[in-house]
Amino acid sequence: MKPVLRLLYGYFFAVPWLRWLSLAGVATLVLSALYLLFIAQPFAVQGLAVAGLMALFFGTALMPLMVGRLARSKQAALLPWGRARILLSALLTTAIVAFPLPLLGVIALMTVAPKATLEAAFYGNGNSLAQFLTTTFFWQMYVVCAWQCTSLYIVLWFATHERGVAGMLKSLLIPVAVLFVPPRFVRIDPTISLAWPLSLLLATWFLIVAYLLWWPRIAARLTRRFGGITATTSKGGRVASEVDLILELDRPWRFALAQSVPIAVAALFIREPAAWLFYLTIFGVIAGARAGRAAMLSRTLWLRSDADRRALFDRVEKAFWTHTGYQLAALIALMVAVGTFIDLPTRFLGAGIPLILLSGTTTMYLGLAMTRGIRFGDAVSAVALMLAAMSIALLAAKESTPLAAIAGIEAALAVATLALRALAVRRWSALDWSICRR
Amino acid sequence: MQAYVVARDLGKSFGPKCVLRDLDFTVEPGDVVGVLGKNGAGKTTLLEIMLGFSPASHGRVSVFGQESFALSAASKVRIGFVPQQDELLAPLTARDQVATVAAFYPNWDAPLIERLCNAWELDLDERIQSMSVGQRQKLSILLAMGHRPDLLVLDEPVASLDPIARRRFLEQIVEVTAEADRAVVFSSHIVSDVERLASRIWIVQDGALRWQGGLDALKESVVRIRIRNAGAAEALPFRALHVTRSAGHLSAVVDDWSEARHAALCSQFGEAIEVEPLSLEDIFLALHR
Repeated sequence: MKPVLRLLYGYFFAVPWLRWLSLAGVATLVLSALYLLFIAQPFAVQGLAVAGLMALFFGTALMPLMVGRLARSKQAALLPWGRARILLSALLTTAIVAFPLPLLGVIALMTVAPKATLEAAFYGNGNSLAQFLTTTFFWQMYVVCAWQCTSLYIVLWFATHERGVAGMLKSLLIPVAVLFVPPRFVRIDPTISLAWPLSLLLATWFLIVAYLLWWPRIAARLTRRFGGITATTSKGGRVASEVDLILELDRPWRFALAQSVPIAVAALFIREPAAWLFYLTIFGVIAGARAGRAAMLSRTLWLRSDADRRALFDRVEKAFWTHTGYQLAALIALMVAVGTFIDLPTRFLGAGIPLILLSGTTTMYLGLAMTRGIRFGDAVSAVALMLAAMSIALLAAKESTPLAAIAGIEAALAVATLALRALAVRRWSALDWSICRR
Repeated sequence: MQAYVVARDLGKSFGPKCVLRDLDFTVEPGDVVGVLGKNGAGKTTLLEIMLGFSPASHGRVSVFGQESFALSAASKVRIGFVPQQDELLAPLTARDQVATVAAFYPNWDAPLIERLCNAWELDLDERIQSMSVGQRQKLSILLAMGHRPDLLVLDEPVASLDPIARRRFLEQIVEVTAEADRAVVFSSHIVSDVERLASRIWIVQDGALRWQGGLDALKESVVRIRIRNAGAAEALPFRALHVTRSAGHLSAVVDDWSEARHAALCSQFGEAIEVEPLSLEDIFLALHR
């Protein structure tokens, strides 16, 4: 158990900025639970709890990367029970991160929600309702949360491990399921079975186990049986400017077109405007997120041009505007198509288009401002930005929220974008490539 | 005592490409084996098959009496390995990385690591992502030695080390193998290090073991002979690896040198023969001409 606990410590606390994020998450969640128990105001605590959950999740954001790297290393093959223990540590991390939400959910329902309303929904007596909430309902929520956490860790793995179109597609397809599953399996309804979400969770973990534990051996045996698999390379030449090639921004249209696949899949399952805005905002954020590697990649440009650091920033910014522009333009076209297809309200487009544009550009400038790797401030800004964009998406989808209020919040986001640009310009003027190495 | 590693008729192919063929070798307790070979000769593949990272295409290799591809946890605890490219977790500090690996081993020797860190001037509180390539290599070596393995396998461990660190590394290997029952197998392109350290040499050439045996035996087997006033038409009575002629003198590097060959040459050329031992580097170059 010692190696597993040590790995857990590594995921939660080994990196300073993640350590503070994890601790902040735990503190916020404990505070939320106390608030619910003693002050009993669920609506006031909702935002606090969501922030705590996000902080705890992002506090372990390096877990998929570390597990992937460790599990596929030669070292892991020689560590006693290496891969099995690494896998167990990943499972326990997911179990821990998934725990607070169902716990808070049950506390909120037990202590705060009007009992009559619950009983009417449950059509039972008070005692059996309490029993239902602390057993079946808790486990339903816990299993679904564990599955959501697993899925989001997989998204993080794809997003950090595969930077091509395939990685983007995988990262964007999984959230469709994450948005689709919970409302169907977590309800205050005694007829809902635990079997389906549990099967989904077990199947997902079976695939992870197969990939990490068995696939290396299966692949090796296949190699033994059929010989090596020869890698093929594309015969098509890459036609792009030198700047685009160095910054890995060539063929932006591929990324733009690829977005239509997960959106088409999502159109089959998602109907709610809030879920759509939430989902499309993720696309916007991902479109801009590629800029996080710009400073590191620009090292080669410095040697190949006569531009000073400021002029170099202008060239890099222009290249990213072109790349992100393709993706955002395609995204808005797809958004209009989806809105028409599902017959979403007009305010969906009115509030959604600026939101998507702003999420893409804000993330892009946040990425450009990361000139020294991901520091604590950058991580907090990224999480805050993501939370802000998601919150605006949920607010904008509500009929009761005035459009003027949404416009005001979006204007604030635009100001944040300008501030991030100014920060990026300042940082690039003194860019030190020795501290943003690959 | 039982050999730690035994390989019989070992071969490896990737599709139609044969990378290793017909290898037979053993690693005994107390051996320090230096593996030499050109780039692409198959050294890394050989070490990886030996440790079970990759299955052999034919033949078999066993480590501590078990097939290497199915090593038990008890056998793994007895092995230390330094890969060619480090597999460290960049966001962690060296101390966290050491603690993570140490947790897997019940017999982790923390004082040894502390002592080596001081000797090798490695700052355990530094983050791995900010370490130089040489520092990362030092850390990888420490991680492989911390559990005092019986079999230590190192794939080009000193490629990025400065001369001082290399010397300290060599001293440490000598210290490790001075303890009974330890064995070390290491590949390197720095032939002088191999010559200084190894008791046995494997020379891998085109996927086969061109030579395996003691360093002294190798040096006695491959020599340079100089023959004064050899006629232009006169040829050696046996095959040589390399022959040059200048101003009536003949110089040749020969392998399989023996008293019988010496006697044969003496009978042909009389007393005009000089036999010169070669350094390991010269032998390696001669074998690859």
